Amino acid sequence: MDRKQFLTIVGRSALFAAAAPALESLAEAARAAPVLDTTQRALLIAFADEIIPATDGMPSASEMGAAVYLERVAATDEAIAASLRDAVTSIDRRARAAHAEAFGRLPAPARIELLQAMEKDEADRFRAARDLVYEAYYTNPLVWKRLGYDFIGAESVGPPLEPFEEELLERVRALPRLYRAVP
Amino acid sequence: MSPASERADVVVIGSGAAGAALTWSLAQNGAKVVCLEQGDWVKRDLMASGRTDFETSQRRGPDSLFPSVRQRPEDYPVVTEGGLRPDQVLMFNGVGGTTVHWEGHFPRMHPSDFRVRSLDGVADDWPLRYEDLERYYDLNDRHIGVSGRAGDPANPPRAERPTPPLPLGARGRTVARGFEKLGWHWWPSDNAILSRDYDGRKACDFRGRCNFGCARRARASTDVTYWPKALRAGAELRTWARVREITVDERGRAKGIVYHDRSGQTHEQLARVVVVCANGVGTPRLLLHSRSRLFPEGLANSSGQVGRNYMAHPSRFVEGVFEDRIDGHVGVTSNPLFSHQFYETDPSRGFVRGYSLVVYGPMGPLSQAWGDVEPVPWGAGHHREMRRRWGHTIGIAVMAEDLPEETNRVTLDPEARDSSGIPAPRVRYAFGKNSLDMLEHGARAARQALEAAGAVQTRDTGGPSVFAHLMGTARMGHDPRRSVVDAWNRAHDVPNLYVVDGSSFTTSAAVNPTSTIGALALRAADGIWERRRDWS
Repeated sequence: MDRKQFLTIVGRSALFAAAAPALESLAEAARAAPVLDTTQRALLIAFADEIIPATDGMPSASEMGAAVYLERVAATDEAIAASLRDAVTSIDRRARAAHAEAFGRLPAPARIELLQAMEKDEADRFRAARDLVYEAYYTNPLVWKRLGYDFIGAESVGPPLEPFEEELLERVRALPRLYRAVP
Repeated sequence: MSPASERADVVVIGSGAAGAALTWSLAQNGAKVVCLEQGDWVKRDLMASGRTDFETSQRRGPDSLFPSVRQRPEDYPVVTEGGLRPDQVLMFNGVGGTTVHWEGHFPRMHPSDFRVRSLDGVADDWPLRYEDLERYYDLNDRHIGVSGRAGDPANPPRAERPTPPLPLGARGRTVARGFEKLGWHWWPSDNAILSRDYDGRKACDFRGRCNFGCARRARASTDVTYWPKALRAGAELRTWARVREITVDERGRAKGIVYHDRSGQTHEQLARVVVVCANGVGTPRLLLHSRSRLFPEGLANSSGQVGRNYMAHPSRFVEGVFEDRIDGHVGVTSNPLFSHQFYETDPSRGFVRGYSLVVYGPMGPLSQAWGDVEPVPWGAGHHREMRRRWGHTIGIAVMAEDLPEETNRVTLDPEARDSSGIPAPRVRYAFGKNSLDMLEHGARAARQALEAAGAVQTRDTGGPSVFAHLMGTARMGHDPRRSVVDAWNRAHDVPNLYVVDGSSFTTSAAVNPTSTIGALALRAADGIWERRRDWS
């Protein structure tokens, strides 16, 4: 796969530009020691977009660079690489067994049905892959911004909070002693 | 092995909640104290709390709270069985011990917690009473820097807290509304988190993520509370020192300890008194590994109780989704308020003892998606459900009293070893029926409270988990046949050996243990000092 093909597969929107530095790293990592081959990578993207599709005004997993993130992390963590490969291999096997077709070429209802079956039959494997997609998506600051999550870093100050309101204790203060007497 | 170091008055193993307090107390009295810590000082600017990967850091990598995940050079593997998962044993090896990574909730035990056998006919009474610990609780509170409010009708009267209660935030106010509606008890929590500048430390500024390490030092850990004082008082803290065994002389008295330094070199440290503060898993591991001709079943183990009665606080987590935006992740990670409505035994409930209800919020978006209770579903409805939950979720955790059972125990694993070749601990744990009954009741109560607070939906884990508080494995008691240490944390079998940490708990109570561990440590230090003529 050349760089142009790679970008075509993973770069689906302008939002993805935020992941460009990571993309460069991936391109380098993929050349040196690719975690997934071209087919597997395409499948991972299709899988990620079924887990987190573009709906309700939110971008899909691949639009937020999920596949790039995952391959980058997998390049330095063999357990994650194994999880990704396991999931991709299983999905591919299921797609070809049931439909004689690559997962990414199946119509959406068939893809969803296949993943639902996998979630039931291979719960641990599916959960591991799903959680990785969630990780890729919900560690992205662009997603945080859309959710209204302000990350307060080491050099920042947290939000102001109202001091404790003593008057809230008026009823409880008047309760009889609740702890047991010990002879 | 290198030649033995000069004999210390007291050698302390472990620098956490107990080791730090005890070392400070003895050093300021004038004792020559050497503390051995298998980890290093923590670099606050590298803590996961300040990094955007704070959530993933718990599942992998060197900053996880779980040693089996973390696998730093200073960690030892922990093997689990009986339904307990490796990520249900939580500890940290470094100066400050697990206080580096705790949330800082700082409740005390109730007086009834020390009289479980007498009051409820289960487990055993402690050989001391609440009143024996009270002044040490107070002293420990002052050193740690506790925020809170005196006057709680569910607890004995106590001195006004060193700093006022932390803000409840929207999360706390919402749940308080529920408790108020039901007429239940609630109270602002005692937290080891400063609400005002205190003792040279800054007040909390509500960045959250407390258990990933507090770079500001507002959330107490003993590396920022006791240790600076202990070092000024002349104590010696030796980091990267992994204790292999406690040695004994021909009279059966503790002679000292043998330890490995970072390079693997073996050393001996002689001492008049040895104090083990290595937590409820590390302590029995070390005692069981310290076998000798005089103590073939492990040191201080003539009762066979070393390693038995492991307790971890059974838990159940219930979450409520609210229509209003609450942003439950804002503010301290630990609970701003708690309820002891169901703390004391009520026979009509069908179980003995009781539980705490503690309030929590999600860590961040990823934790919300992964789900403490239930993951956000994948697929077409994912974003709708995530938006419904994120910023709108509050959790109530049920923390149940764990009754001691001999079959829940720490042993030495026959195969797994740490990098120094010392056998790893193997922890077996299964939930008792009383715990499960209590958790069912607690889950219903938590749902009720959340619904009263206005939750439009609630869900719970459905099954039991644990809080990973490590207790009971070298328990305290009057009877040497049924316990390991006496009321002063002194080993029945070895007169100059002390065990001071959660392992000495006779019962678990239904509150976080660290406040009691610190109080026990200060009391034990006084006991050791008062016996100094017997040190020999």
